[in-house]
Amino acid sequence: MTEENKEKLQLQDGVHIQERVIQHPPHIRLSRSQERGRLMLQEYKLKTLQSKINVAREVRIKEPQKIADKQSCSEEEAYRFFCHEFDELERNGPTTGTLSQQSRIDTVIDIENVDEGHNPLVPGDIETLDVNPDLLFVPSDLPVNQMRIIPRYLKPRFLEDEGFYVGERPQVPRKMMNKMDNRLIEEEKGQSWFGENGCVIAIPDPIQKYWHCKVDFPFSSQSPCLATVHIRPDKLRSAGSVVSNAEASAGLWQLDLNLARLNFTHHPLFCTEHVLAQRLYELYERYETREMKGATTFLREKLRGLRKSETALTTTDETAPGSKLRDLRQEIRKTHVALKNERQADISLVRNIVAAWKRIKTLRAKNGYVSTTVKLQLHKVKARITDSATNRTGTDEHMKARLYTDGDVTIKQHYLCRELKEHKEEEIYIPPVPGQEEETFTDSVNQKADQLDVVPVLTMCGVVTPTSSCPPDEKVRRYELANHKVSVNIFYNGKHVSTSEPSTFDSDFRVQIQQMFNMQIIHSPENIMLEICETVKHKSTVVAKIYVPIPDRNMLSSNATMERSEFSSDRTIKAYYAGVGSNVPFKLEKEDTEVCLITSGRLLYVLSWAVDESGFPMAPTAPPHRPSFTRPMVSGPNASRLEWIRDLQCDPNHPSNTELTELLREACEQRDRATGHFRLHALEEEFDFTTEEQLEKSRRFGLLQLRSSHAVDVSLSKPIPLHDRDITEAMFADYDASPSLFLMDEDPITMQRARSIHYIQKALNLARMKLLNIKRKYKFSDIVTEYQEADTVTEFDWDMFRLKRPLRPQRVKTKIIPTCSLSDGDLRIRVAINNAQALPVRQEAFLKEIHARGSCCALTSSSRHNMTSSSEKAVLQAQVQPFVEVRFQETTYESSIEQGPNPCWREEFTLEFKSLGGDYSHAALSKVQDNIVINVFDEMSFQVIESSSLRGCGTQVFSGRQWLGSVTLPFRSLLQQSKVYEKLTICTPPTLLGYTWTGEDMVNDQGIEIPARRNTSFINVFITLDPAISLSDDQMAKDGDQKPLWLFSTDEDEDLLDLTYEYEKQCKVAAGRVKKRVITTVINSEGKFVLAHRFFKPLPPPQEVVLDTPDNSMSVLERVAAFVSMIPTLSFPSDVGDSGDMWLTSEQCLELAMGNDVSLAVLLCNFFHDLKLNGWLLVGTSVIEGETTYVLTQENTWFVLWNPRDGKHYQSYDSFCPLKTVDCLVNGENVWFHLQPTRKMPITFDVSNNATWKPLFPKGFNSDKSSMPTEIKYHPSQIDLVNLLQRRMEMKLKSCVMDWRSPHPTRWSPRCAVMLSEVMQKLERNPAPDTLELEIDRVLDTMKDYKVTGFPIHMAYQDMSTVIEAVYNTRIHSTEIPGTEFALSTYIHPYPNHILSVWIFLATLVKHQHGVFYVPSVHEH
Amino acid sequence: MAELHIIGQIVGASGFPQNSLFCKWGIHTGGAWRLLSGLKEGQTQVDLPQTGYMAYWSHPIDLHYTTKGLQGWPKLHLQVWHQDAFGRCQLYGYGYCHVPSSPGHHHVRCVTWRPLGSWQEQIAQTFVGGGPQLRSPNIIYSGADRYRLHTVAMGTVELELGIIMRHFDRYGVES
Repeated sequence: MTEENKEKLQLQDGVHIQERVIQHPPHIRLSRSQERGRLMLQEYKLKTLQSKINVAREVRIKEPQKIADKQSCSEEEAYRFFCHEFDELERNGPTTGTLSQQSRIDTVIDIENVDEGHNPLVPGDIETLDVNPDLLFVPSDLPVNQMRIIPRYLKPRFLEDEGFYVGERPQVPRKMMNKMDNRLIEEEKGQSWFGENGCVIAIPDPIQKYWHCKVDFPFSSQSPCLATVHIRPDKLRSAGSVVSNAEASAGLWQLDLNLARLNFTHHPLFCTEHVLAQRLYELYERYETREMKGATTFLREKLRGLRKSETALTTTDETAPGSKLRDLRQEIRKTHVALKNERQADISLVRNIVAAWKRIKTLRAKNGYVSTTVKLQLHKVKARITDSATNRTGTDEHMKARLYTDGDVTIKQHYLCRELKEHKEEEIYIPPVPGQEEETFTDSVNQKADQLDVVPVLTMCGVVTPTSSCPPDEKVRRYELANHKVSVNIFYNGKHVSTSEPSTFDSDFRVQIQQMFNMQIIHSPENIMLEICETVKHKSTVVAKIYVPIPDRNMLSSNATMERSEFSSDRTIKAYYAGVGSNVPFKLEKEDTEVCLITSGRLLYVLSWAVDESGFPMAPTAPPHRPSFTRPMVSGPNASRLEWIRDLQCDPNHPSNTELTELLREACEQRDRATGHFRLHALEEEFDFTTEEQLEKSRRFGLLQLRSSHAVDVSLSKPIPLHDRDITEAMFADYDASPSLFLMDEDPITMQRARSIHYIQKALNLARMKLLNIKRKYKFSDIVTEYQEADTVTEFDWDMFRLKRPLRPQRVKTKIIPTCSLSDGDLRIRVAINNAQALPVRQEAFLKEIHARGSCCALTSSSRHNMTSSSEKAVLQAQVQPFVEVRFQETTYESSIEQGPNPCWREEFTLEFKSLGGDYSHAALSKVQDNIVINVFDEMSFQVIESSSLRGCGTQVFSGRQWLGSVTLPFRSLLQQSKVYEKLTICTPPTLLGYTWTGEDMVNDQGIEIPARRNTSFINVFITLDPAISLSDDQMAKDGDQKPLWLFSTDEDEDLLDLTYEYEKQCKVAAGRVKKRVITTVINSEGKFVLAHRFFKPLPPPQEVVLDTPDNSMSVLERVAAFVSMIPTLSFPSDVGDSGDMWLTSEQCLELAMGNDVSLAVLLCNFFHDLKLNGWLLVGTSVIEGETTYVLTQENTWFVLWNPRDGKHYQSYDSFCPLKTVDCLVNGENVWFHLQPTRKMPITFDVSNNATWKPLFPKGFNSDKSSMPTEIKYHPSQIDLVNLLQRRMEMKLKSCVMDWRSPHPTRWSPRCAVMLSEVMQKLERNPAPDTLELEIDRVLDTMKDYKVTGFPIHMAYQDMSTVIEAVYNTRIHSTEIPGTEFALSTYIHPYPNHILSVWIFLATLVKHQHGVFYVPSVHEH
Repeated sequence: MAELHIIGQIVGASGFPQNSLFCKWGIHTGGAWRLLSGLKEGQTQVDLPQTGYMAYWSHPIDLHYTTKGLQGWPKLHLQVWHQDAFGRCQLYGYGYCHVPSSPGHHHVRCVTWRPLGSWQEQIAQTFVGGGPQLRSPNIIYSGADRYRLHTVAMGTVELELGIIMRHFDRYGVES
């Protein structure tokens, strides 16, 4: 076969073959058959290894020279050689066998007949053979008949179809596949080439589609910030739960403690020689450390360098400044001195060493035995450096090396013969005598080089005299020593962990422990203590305790170094035998001074953290912020500090300063970098739009941030203007809920009040926040509204049967509108004042006075006529001209002036209501704190007669008003009741100067006469909201099936809460449509749900309140109630969402001197309990206060209602009691719900009657009592502070009154004020009415010349503004009567805990001479 | 004083091995930025899609920023978590994307990745769940050498963000 054919064949196969020359035995002649067999083999390889695209292919190329050389090789041999190789192939293929016979004849490649001149590499050189087409087999590319592959009786079997996974066959073109099949069938008869499915057997696709090889990055370890943690899947913990780190990594920590050995530097069994040896050892150690430092060498080198530069400076550089040279010389001198000192120190140290050694030697000689292994050798070192000035160019290290090698040599030569052999007496060598040495050393200092230097070498290789040849003392000592054993106890965090094996001493008092302790620890390490115990026989004593520091996290067992810890013990051990003892004085030698040594030693150990398999330290993680050692230096290159360090001029070349200089360099670099180089962050500012300050200044942003921080209060959220200019200060005020509370100019008591308010506000806010958070946790039904099928059945309209026109006309109800549809100006309050009853009248004495003086006055005839003509009766009847002033939110209306103590005005006022911020939601409305104040005044007309008039006397009338009393109705209560139509008791001052109550009986609404009550006036009012507001939208919002209690955090028992929840539900059902409050659980100041009855516990009231004083007319209960009423109440609502008020405990109430309605009632109730009185907290509705709480007490058979706010009490049947309805009762044992469908006051409060009162707990139920303490510590008020406040208040009020009267002058009457203050002090003690009258008469008598009208105001002290407000409310300043003098006096009575009862007496004095009071006559009326 | 409003929603995620997913998100800004109102981080609910392969959250994002400079434009970083049938949670992907810097409505697709962990961890993850998490998650958005981590690509989170810019033009920022 020719090469050409071969090529053809290959090309037909469709495989691209790259030809290349390969080395082949050149002498081989290839027969055709051989060639063919080889080709087939190659093709087979090709087919199977499809992936290899480029296959080597041999081409026979003639190599003429070589072939010529191998002429000797015959044809036969060549053939044999070839056939031998392909033997098997030939046998396998029968076709080739036939061919091979032919090849012998005609197809031998003639290699010899090749032109030698041809270049073998040129293609033309390739031998071409003639092609005989008959001899060539060209496989067909048609599919092979399956019959030929698979035996007739078999069917092809496809493994895939049977469910086996056979993998994917490599992709080969169909044609090629066919060709292959054909060839295999032809040549091999298909044996073993085909599988059961009739295809050529092929392994699955060997080519991988994916690249499995992972790239390994050149960096071995990842940076720590890239570290990942494998987290096992876990349920997410709630944000609040605390996961301790210790748990997570428990058992992963391990401390490795390696105890190496103990060296005793003193021990009671030390003999004298030991003591000396120890000294020597210490000296030697010092010497060694000095050598290590190499201070002398360093100085010497430095000196040399300086000298050199000096010579250079003086010889070469002429222009060098003199100062430089001078500095240099000074430096040289300094260095010289330092070097000298260093040398001196060195020499003296060596001398001491030698001396110590000598002492040991003499001692040994004296004793005749050796007990230590210490041995000192003095090596003479010859410094061979002679030409110092010129040859000192080598580095320091180099010099040193030379020095030491020299030394070694000399040691060998010099000392071999002279070694000190102490134990033998034949010692001849005497070390240099101290004196001699001194000389040599001083010489060496002076002459520097060319000296014999002595280097002491201490070894521990001395031979100790065997015990047998020792004197008995020493024998005993050594025997003792052998009995001593030392062990170390290891304590971790105070707990005994392990003990080392007891080990014995060696002759130099060393204890080799060599033990390793691995401690796996869970608790974070606090301390590790090693206790050294010495055991003698079986008795062990603690020598010392060593606290070893806990290693740093980086201290791993791989890199840990040996630590040395010194210890000592002060125990006293007597010297015995040859031992010197411990802590006892002894003498080394007779002539020596006494020394006293204590047991001491050193422990050598390694303490480190273990390393786990992955190379991580098994140590607790370091605290996150550990300031780096170099950080402050590097990060903050404080210029001045840098300068300071530079000024230190510490030697930068000194080895001990290297660290410092390094730091300094770095710091300087950083500083220079900051100034001299380009840094981007300097430019960053240029990219800024604005500055931080401008952002701060922006009011809009401030407002936005405020709003987002107060996002809780949704009612305050309203749009914020787009521009800064539209933002007013008022908007800020809306958000600044807590103005600067602690004004520094306030007095301590006011501060205390402010703090209390602040505290309560904070608690309230927290609780509200909690509630909001809870509310935010929506239920499923809140989020998902499930589609409900529409009710298709329409309600039957029963109305169609109704009469079209009812016979009885029905009243058209006022339209009730929901709150949300309101806006500013829509809501009004209508106040109708009908009449008043039993108003006080001007005092008779005072009127008489007028009459008496009237005659002597030059009155006009008409007036005189009036005066005289008016009968006595008429005067008595018309002693008061009352009018009413209604005030609400800065709008004030006054009624007309009527006559007499029972006036009838019948006037209606319409007051505009304006909600804060225009928010008219129910929540916002219920927070409105404004009160409707109805003041009753007496109009006083004062006539001044002007006698200067030519036409007789003229009169001028001036009017003044006298406050008689007021009614305060909170808007809140109006909102709750929607209307107030009631006869209200006017709050009148305890006494009204110049007025008196007539003892007339009154007729009430039903026409029944009721007896007159002392000092009580009434007013009939009708107040309503226009339009009426429906509150139903808020009621509907309550979700029936949600248990609100469970949402709040609580410490209560679940069962109890269940019980209360059920109870509340039942109560709600029982109440029906009437909204009744039932209090079972309340929120305390911590924002937790607490059962209400836990707040009740008997509490003792302050002693001074309980103690009876002789002139006090009040009973104990009244006094206690009065005390409680002196605790100021909060001026803001204390409700927590719709869960009712926050309850303060009685202690808090007293401590804060501040409380809300409920807590005062609870406190009063608790006081009553202590006074062995049956008391309940009554939850109900009062006419004046709306929803409120009273205290109910039982005395014998009747019940008394106490108002804790003003201390007043009413009988339960009293029709003037403002409390109208009762919802429930609470006390320490139970809660009773009033089951009556109407809300009327019950006749009896018999709680045992289950028909009307439904108890929360069944009878005999014993729920655990409240945890409130029964004892309360009252601290007395500080009198000086109270006096200060009193003075301040008086000053402040006076200045206020003067301000209000601003254009008019205000004159004060100090005399009256003094008297009034006396009255007030008596008033505080609540004298009997007649004594009080006496007191007042006395005042009036003293001030006879004046018409005195006045009244005291009694109030609890909260802050100055409320006091001022109260004074302003009386309008005492608005009198126009000329010549009026004012008297203002304050008195503060302190109760414990700074609970203050404030009295302010206000009075006006009008001199009679000026004119007369106009007294209206009956006729006018 | 430029202001930036980011109002939009995290629509959902797709392409994760499991569909029961939830997402923790947060906005990271430079020091020049100041949050005026809104929450800058949060967590969505778990969505378990019954049909389809995308978990929908529709979680609202509403932020109001002001800034004194352009540095540190807000970035949104996301962590997609998977909650399995036992209620256990495991990390499925970290991702971050810049908040678009042009006003208008934007549809943002944020691709996520997850650290691969060692082969033991991978096996553990296959059978018992869990998986590697970054020790310091702030390299999600600020890791210069984050490329060293072996990670696997996870799905994408889709966001719809509306950007409102105010007064940026005053400082020469064209939008």
